[in-house]
Amino acid sequence: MTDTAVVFVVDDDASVRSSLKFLISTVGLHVETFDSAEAALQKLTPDAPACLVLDVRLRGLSGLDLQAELAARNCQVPIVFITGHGDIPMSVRAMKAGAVEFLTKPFRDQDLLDAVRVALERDRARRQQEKEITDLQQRFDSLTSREREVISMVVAGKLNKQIADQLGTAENTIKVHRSRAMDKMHAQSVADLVRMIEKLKSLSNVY
Amino acid sequence: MRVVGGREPAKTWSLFGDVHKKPSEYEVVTAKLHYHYRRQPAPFELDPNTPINTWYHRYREGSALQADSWEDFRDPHQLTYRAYVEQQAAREAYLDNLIDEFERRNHDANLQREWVDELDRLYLPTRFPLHAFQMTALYVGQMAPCSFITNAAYFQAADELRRIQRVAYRAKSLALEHHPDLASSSYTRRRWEEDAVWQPLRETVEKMLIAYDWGEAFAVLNLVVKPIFDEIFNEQLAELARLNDDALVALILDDFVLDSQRSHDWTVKLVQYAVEQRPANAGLLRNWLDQWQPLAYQAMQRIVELYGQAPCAREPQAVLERVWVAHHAFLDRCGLGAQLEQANKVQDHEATPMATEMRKSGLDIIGDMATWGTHFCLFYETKEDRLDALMSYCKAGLEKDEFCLWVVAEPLTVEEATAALKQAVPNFDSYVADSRIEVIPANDFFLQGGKFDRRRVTDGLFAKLANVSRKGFTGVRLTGDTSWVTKNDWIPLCELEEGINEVIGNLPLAVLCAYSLASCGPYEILDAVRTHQFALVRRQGKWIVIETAGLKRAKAEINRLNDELEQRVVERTSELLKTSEALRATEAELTRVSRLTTMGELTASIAHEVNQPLTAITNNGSACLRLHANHNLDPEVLHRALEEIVADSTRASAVISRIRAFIKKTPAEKTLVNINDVIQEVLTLAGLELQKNKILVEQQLTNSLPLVRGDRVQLQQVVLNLIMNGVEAMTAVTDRPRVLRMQSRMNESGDVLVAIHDSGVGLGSEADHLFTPFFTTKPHGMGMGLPISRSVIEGHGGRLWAEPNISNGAVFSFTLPVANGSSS
Repeated sequence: MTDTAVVFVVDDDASVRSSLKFLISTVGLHVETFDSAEAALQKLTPDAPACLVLDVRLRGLSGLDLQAELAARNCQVPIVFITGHGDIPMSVRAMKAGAVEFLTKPFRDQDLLDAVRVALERDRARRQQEKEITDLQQRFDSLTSREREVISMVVAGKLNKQIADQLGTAENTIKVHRSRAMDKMHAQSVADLVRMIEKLKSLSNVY
Repeated sequence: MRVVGGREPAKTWSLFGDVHKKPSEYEVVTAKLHYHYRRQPAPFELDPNTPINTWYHRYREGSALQADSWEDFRDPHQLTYRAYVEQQAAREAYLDNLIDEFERRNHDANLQREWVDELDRLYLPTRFPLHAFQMTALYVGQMAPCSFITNAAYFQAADELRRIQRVAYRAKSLALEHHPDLASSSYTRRRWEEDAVWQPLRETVEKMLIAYDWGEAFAVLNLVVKPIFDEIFNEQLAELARLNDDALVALILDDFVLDSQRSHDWTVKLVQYAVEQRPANAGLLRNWLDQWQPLAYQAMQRIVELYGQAPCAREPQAVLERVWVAHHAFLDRCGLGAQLEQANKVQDHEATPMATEMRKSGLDIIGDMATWGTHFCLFYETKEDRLDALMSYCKAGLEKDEFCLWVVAEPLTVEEATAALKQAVPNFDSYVADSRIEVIPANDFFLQGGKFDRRRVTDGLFAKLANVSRKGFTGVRLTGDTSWVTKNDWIPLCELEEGINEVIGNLPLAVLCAYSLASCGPYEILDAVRTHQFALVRRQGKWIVIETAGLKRAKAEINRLNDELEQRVVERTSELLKTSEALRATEAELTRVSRLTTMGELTASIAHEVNQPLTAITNNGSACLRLHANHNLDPEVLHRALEEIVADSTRASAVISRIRAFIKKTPAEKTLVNINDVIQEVLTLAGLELQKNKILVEQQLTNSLPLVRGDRVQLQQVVLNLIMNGVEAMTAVTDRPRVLRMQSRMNESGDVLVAIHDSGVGLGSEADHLFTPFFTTKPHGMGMGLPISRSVIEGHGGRLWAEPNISNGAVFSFTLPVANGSSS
């Protein structure tokens, strides 16, 4: 795990911050520390996979507030909460809002490192997902409007003959459009194409 | 149930088919029972001319109080027979237990003789008027046009029966202890029929009994008589009883207040309903109020005077005001007092003479005269002078929406006065038509049978004042001639003027008295000037103002007050600043202290402050172990990590010692303490709380107990904690008296023993956990009281334990060793 993944640690207690940095770095991860939510917000634009280790009780904006703020900014960095005094409502709230884990101090080192690992994997997966969508989107954007028409009907299960009939062109023309579209989309089969279109539909509201 | 689209009535609940919803239990058992209301040709299946039919027809269907339908009225308490009986059975059980408890203590034997005599005068005769209330309530119920109303009235009657029965019971109990006459109903009846104080009330209720129109009967009973006399016979009498150490009567009467409130509630509802149905009903009810209130108020006054003569009694005036206010607050609730409220507002605003608002006097020289509360006199030479002055005075009043009353005497006649006004005042006739102005001869106001009758004057004046609220005037402007006064009447007249001075401050009233210079000698002039706030003299076309001492003083006072006011504002501001500083400091301290003492905060505080270093230590340690496992541990890195670990451990222990130091903050001071004194002090401290919760305190403290050595403050806290626990255990108890018994004595081992008994809910199944820290059954409790108390007692060398009480509740006891070298 020696890619450029970063772990951001936010805690208002200096010794906790430095000890966390120490601990997490033992597994080869890069750590950046902040003493307040506001400071983290300013620096938090990760280009690499990242996760957040966040204390709930902070001076100024609390950890839960930071979680809400990030969600509002559409920043989906996964969060591992650590706290000195967790209660059930607080932990439920944090988990419902999408946190990876909620640990109470003092926690076992392994628990923290596991949570960080899960968080980073989640972030990686998300980034991968996003990349795929962008790719798909680009490919889709490169289709001509005719090509788009044709594959929308292909995906709906129509035969070439029917498509030709509906669009008022020859079947051969349809076949050409279709094969060009499949190439552009890098689809190996109609089933592939269908999957791609579905993904685009659900994730980017194109259709 | 079939879903109906076409508004057919449902097949079940035939009586409620038009309501289209499931009726409540209350509605089912109460609705539409009076098949005979508005039945044609007559209520009952007899000849329409039989007495019963004509009676109902005249006094029910023909009542002045009308509505299109009464069937939508609902008792706000939704009482059914079942609910009422259940509810009242519990109340009766409570009263019975209360009486038993007091009998156990020989309460009646210990009553003062004077108080028993008072009960004989004040309380025992109430059975008679209460019986009249009961009968009237039954009449209202019998004659009501709708069964929803009938039931409410019948339950009210049952409440009265309950009250009467308790009076009889008390009479018998008192008779057994004091003298047998008390239980003789003929003896008490004689009081009711012969004692002067009871006669006005007797007249009122006997007249009420023959108010046959059902609406009028309802109005008299529930809007006039009951609100006034419930307040007197329940609340006021209870207070008097408490002041005379008769807690039993007080508690019994307190219970009846609940019944009264129910009757108030349904009355308010019915009045609102009636007015909603027909707005004219409001005027009708007010008329009945006007007719019956004077008699009831007279009765109220006599009885309150009687109360004023009892031992420890309050000022009758204060009691009267309370009752008056209670009655009017109730009428406001019914929506029948609105205009009165407005008038009251005016009165409050202008409480002192020379107050803020100025009104035109109509006499140039006065210019802007302060209104309400002005009482001045005018000396005139000729008839024309008088006419001139008085006329402009009235004119100004009419223009300001005031009611003007001009009492005319020789040599002016009513016709002359009226003619002059007609000329001077435009729209004079319309004012007369509106009853905005009255010009009457002195005979009709000042005199009775040719003689000055002070009572007549004050009655007349108050009658006019009462009109103010009703007719929407802003006040009363009175002017009267005094030329009818004879030598014999002079002094009474002066007394009247003085009397007016005393009350005018609070009334929306201005009075101008006219005196003829010709008929006043020097003494009379001096008297007149003395008894008024200031005087005007008209001589030869010119006006002169005579300032009386009163006026001068008032003006000087105002100036002085104005000066003082500025000074005071400056002082107060700096005071306020200082106080708010002090307050803020105290608040900060309090927050700090409470934050460290409340359990939740303490835990959070400990948890947080210790957790941080602990977390850091764990992290640092684990990191080193990992690195070591991978043979990756640099000695430098290890060294630094270990330094951090040590630093964090030190930090953690510092937190612990800080907390420990705080808990030990106040060192205990051990002195010689008398435990009975401590108990008394705590009882005084908690007195209000005990009274509020209706706790009866019994003290069985052994005199001359030996002293113990201890910290007085800590022992007070233990006793307080145990008492408050007892109080809280009894808050759920409503069916038996709440008794807190404090005992102190020596036990067999020679220690001082204190036991606190309560009649509460008892120890229950949690008895084992009582002294465990953080164990609590209270929703917001900390669970620290008992463990701390126990450790305090144990720190004093004693023991604290709990056991169940004999019948109900629990007993908490603690022992303390006797101080060495102390003697009893």
